[in-house]
Amino acid sequence: MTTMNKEEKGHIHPITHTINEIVDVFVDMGFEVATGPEIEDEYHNFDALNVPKDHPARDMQDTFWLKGIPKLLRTHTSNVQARFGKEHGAPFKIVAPGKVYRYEATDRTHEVQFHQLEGMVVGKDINLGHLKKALLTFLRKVFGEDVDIQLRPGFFPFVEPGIEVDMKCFRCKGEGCATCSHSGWIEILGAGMTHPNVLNLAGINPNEYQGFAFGIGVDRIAMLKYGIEDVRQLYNGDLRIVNQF
Amino acid sequence: MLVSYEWLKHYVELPEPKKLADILNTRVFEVEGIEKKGDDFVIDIDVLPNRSHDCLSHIGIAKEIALLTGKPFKDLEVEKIKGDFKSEYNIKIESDACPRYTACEIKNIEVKESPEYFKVMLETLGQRSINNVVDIVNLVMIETGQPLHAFDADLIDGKDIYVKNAEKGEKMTTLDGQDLELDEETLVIKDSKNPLVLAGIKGGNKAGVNEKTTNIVLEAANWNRTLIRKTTQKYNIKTDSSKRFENEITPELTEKALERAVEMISKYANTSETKVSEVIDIYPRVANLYKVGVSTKEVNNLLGLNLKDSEIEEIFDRSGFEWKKVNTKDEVVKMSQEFVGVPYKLGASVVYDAPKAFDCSSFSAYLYAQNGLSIPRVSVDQYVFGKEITKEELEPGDLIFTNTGEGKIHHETIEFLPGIEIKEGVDHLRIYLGDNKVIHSTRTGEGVVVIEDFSTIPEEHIVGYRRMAEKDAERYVVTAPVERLDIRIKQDLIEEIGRVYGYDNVSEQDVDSIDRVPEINKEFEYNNIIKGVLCELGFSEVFTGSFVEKGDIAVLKPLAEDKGFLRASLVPLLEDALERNLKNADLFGVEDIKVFEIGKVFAGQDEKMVLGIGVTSKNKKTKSDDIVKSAIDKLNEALRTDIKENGSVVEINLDELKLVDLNEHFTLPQTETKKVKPISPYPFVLRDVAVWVPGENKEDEVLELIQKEAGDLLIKSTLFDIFSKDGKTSYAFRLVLQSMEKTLTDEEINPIMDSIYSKMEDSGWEIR
Repeated sequence: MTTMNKEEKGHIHPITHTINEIVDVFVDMGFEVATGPEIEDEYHNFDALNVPKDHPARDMQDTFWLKGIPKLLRTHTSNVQARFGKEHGAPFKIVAPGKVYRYEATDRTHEVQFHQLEGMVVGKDINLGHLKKALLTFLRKVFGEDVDIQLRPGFFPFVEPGIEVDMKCFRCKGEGCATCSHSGWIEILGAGMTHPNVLNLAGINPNEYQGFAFGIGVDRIAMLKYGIEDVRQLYNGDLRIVNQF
Repeated sequence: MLVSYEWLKHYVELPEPKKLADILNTRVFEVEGIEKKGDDFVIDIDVLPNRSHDCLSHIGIAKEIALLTGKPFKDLEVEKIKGDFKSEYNIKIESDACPRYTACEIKNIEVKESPEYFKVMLETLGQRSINNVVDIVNLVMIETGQPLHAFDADLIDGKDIYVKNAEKGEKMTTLDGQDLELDEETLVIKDSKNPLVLAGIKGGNKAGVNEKTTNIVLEAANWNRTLIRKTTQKYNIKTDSSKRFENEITPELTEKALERAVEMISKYANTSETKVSEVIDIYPRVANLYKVGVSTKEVNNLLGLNLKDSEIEEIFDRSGFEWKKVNTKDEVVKMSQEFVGVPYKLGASVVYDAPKAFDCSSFSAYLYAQNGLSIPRVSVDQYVFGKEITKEELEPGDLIFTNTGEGKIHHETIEFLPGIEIKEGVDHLRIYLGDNKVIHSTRTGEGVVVIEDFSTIPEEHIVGYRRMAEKDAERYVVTAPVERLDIRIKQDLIEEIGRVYGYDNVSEQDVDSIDRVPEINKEFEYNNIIKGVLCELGFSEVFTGSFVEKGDIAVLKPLAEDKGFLRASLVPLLEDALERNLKNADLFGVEDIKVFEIGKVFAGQDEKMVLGIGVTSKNKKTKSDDIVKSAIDKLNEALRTDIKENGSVVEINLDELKLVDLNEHFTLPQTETKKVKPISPYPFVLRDVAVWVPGENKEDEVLELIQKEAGDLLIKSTLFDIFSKDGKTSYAFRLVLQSMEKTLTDEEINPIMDSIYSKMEDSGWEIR
């Protein structure tokens, strides 16, 4: 009798696992999944999101422009919020996971392609407390029930107020360790209350509706959670990381 | 921006550096670092883009600290320039991109080494000391945020200084020796012959201040941010000056910065003969102070707080905002009548022309803005913005819209909810004052005029009545400080209140259910379903790169020569992944490599979502095509599709599959993995061990022994052969050994294998 010790099941990529884990939390909170194109026009990637032309804010996301077509590779999945609002009107609660692209040199923590998960809620009385609860629910599910967050002022053209969200380090519980660069806190995501111009351009009356939005770097979450040291290992077709899942 | 702790102390009492960093971090800007330098601390502050108007300066940061700590801010006090003489220089502005140009001439100064204090401060902030005058110009910029420029007056040709676009091909050499060839879109400051400065960005070497300089022209100007940004990109020159201008700073700042620089030059570069000219100030269009309105209810509704009026008012006071609380509609009605007789100007600007000229809608927009409510600028947008009411419901302050049938009639909204069709058309509006009286700005020659009885308006002209604000609604009207260009809409005020009050005081709230049934996203759900089917069949998911050497769609700026196109197909990428993973088959303990990827490819002009499946094997007898085929059969079964692709690596267009609708969200099983083992950059080594063991079912025992002896270097062990004979069983294991630190050699491996063998023999097992 001769047998090969074959593995029966395959493995799912950690980015897929991470997206699914996050999506499941939000689906439980009544969100729906929205998707959109990776080749996008300038209007939906920038203009509709209140990023003014020639504003230094556009420096923050260096862009892959295409040759011969007046389009670009989306720099965030926020393009989905611009499209969804226009198509469906308010109210809504969406999460938009997907691949995005930035023109930048690659290193251990930077890839030209990566994944983002954008969330947006628009309703009559949506406030910052709702945002805080939604984010805490998600982070506690992913990183453990004792997670705490702090909100700091941030700037993103499509929200006002803009918020940076730090999470108390889940490894050292805020004591300071290598994971949190000894600060006790980890910068985890950007968020804010939807800018009225974004609603207005999506055809949603900003006097009747308000909302919140957040953007999660899926790769960053996966790297933190699973201790993956080099983001490039996630996009080179190599199974050595994938096979551990 | 680097900030000196000691310098900040001139304007505001400071907490300890560490505490200060904490306050800045949670209430305004991230602190990237604090470093002790001599007796001082340098704080590296990441000023946010929306505060780069006012906080790229020590004064801006100090004001912010005062606001956050509640300590008083001691403003910089400088004397007005009296002027010992009238300058002979003529400044000629021939561009819209220079909203203000302020300058003066200083005669008989002494350029020399800076005092020690300046040198230390510049060094602390990572800058180099040049000479007293250049250092002062730099320090005043760092202090106030206003860039300045000093020219050696004796090196300027003629007495005319122009702000104008360069001529095509005109040459200029910068202060640091870079030769530029200018084009006609480049704004420069020039004398009668040559360009002197790349406006707002960098000085030229022609009239630079040097140790021989005795007379200077000192300039503090304001430049259009878009132009500065384009020019810095065109010439690839970025400076401390351009950084501030491209973020936009208020033209109000030039005067004070000039005064400050003159005061310092008079003190540190003076001679007994030093004389300062009167100020030349060219400032053609002065903007109205910006008014922003908000109500307590709006603040609480957005922040989820329960602030009292007094708490909001206290924050306004600390922020240095001038504010009042008004009944918006009453004030609009009252204020409107102050402007009777103001001339009509079509397209009058609310910021620059009001209240000296109005058109019909700039009149209402201005009145509401002055009294706490921002409404759209254009009549048709105001028509959509307002709440629809009937003639009977009219209250003072409501608007009456007409279509006069003459001139430009708007049939579509422009800025507010753009693109809404307004069949009835709008071209004019009047403000109702009560008792049948209305007021409006009319193009018929009278300007702002009150009509005693609005029933004189032809009934057929009236298209509707609209209410901008409810009666008795009290709102705050805040006058934004001139440098706070970030305070433009009510949400900006709400942010100010929220961050000063502290976002940590916002309590969590559940989102109530909303009036929409979530839809199932077929693309997302089916991708997961497919992943689940393939994973069950032993396929693993890979992500390959989106940028490749050849394809249909190219990117403008490839990051590498072989990454100039977007992938048009997954097939070559999966073939490559299979080949590379096959080399690690032993590491994975498998013979066959089976992978898939779901992602976008970009073929033709478009993108499509595809599934790629591929198989390869170490075993030449394995039929990869068959494995793929059976996977596709399973998919067809699960998805109720008829996918026909075949081969060892296939690609399936998911967009074209006809998939049935789904009723619920699909959940893939979660992973149990907590933390990954890092990938070693060093090669692995294989060793096979085969051993006879008495009895049966001893593989765990064998493995345990192997693991114990091999230790951490053993990263995989696969039982690849097992058979029993004569009451004993043969187990053959393939061991994969690998180090995280180095390439393993026989010298490291052999002792391990020897100890495995000897321990096996000790157990009475027989090595094969």
